[in-house]
Amino acid sequence: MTWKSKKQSVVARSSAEAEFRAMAQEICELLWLKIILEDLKLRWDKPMKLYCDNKFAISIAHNPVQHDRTKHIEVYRHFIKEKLDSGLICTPICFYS
Amino acid sequence: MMGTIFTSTVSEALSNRKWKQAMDVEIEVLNKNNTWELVTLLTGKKPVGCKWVYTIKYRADGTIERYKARLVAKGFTQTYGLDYLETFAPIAKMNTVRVILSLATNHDWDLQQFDVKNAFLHGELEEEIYMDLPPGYDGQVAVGTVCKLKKALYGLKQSPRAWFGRFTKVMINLGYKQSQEDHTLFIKHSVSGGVTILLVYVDDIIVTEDDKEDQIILSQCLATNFEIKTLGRLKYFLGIEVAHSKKGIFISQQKHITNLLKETRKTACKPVSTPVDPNIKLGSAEEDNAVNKEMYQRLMGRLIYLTHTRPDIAFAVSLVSQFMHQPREAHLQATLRIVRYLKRTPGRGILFKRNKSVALEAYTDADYAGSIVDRRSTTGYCAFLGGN
Repeated sequence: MTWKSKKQSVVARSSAEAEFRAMAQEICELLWLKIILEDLKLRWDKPMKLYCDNKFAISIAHNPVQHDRTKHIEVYRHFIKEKLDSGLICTPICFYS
Repeated sequence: MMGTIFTSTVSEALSNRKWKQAMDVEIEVLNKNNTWELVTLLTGKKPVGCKWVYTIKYRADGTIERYKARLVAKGFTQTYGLDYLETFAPIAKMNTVRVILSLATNHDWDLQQFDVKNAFLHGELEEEIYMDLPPGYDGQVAVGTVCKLKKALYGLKQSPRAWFGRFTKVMINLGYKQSQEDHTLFIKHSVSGGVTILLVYVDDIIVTEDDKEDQIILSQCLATNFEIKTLGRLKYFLGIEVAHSKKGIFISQQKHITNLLKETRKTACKPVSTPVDPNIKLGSAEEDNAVNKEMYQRLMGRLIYLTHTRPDIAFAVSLVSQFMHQPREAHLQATLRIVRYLKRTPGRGILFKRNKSVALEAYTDADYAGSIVDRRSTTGYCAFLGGN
């Protein structure tokens, strides 16, 4: 229902970082959708499913260990972690085959 | 309905009965609407000019529907800070339109469409603006008389904002709540738990509700405040065709694609099955010949508009539009490949199914260092609401 394809504004140093930015942007979109639905008094209390095909990106989203390879994407990491912890989203693993 | 602009001087038009009639109609509307009052111009004030725009409106079958004359102000002569300040007016996001369509399908709500006639004339002006007398109607008054505008007029810088402000005021008076996520969305919850949703795109309005009564009240209220044309069930909105069926609602832009094929002279081209050639990595292609920039940019604009119902070309369009500032032959070829892909699949669009759910799901992906120009990655995502 909503979609986007956009070139990122900075160079990613790993594929996980690229995926990570994509996740953060999608979460913003989902938050917007959720608020619109709440305005219409349509509540959805279960976590929203966010599918991502990069296992590393999902792992660091769940367990943000302070790692030198993830330090530069700190803001995104904490943003995603916060939404995961509050039960707003969940990340079932799905792989492209 | 199509229209062609007809160039003519005022004296020529006045000698033609049809144009004279159309101009009289417009002047009558303006007078009835209390658009201006005649005053003597004070020294130091400068009036804006105005002119007539003549349009012939055609029906779908090519016959002439009517002659239309529109008085427009020469807004380009207005000075910022003196004649106008704020000019921003919001329009509906396409995402919101799709959210509404998805909800309407899932809940079996009725979708109605309205059109406001002479929308901009309803806007109330906050600034003090003087305008010259309309050409052809300046005979009977003393020299030095000008129109002091009370309402907005087509062509003024602040007209869209004035119209949207007026519309918002009316809707809030009717008990509607303006959504903070999209300011063009108005919502009203009734006591019985029903809901009426209204979305406005300049002068086009979409209404959906689960309460038949509320909708009748709404259309009556709108009709008392503005002049409303009821277009019935949502069929054609902003160039998007909306088809209703047992399965749900289907939106597509087939007409837009046909026009695009005609414009690029690709009506008889060989179709291809994918929008991008997977073997070619598009770079800045500096050794290639430069192509017409204006043409390329116009093509981009049309393709970007198409992505509203075609997520399948979203990536391809975002790829070729990265070279808009300096298009080369290779980029044009890639763009024309998208057009050839569209030729193969002109009828595709988005189907909103009745799934009876409001689950939110999202899929994301990114290509790592996909751009060969600067090695940046590309984000891709899509969200599904209730399976749509």
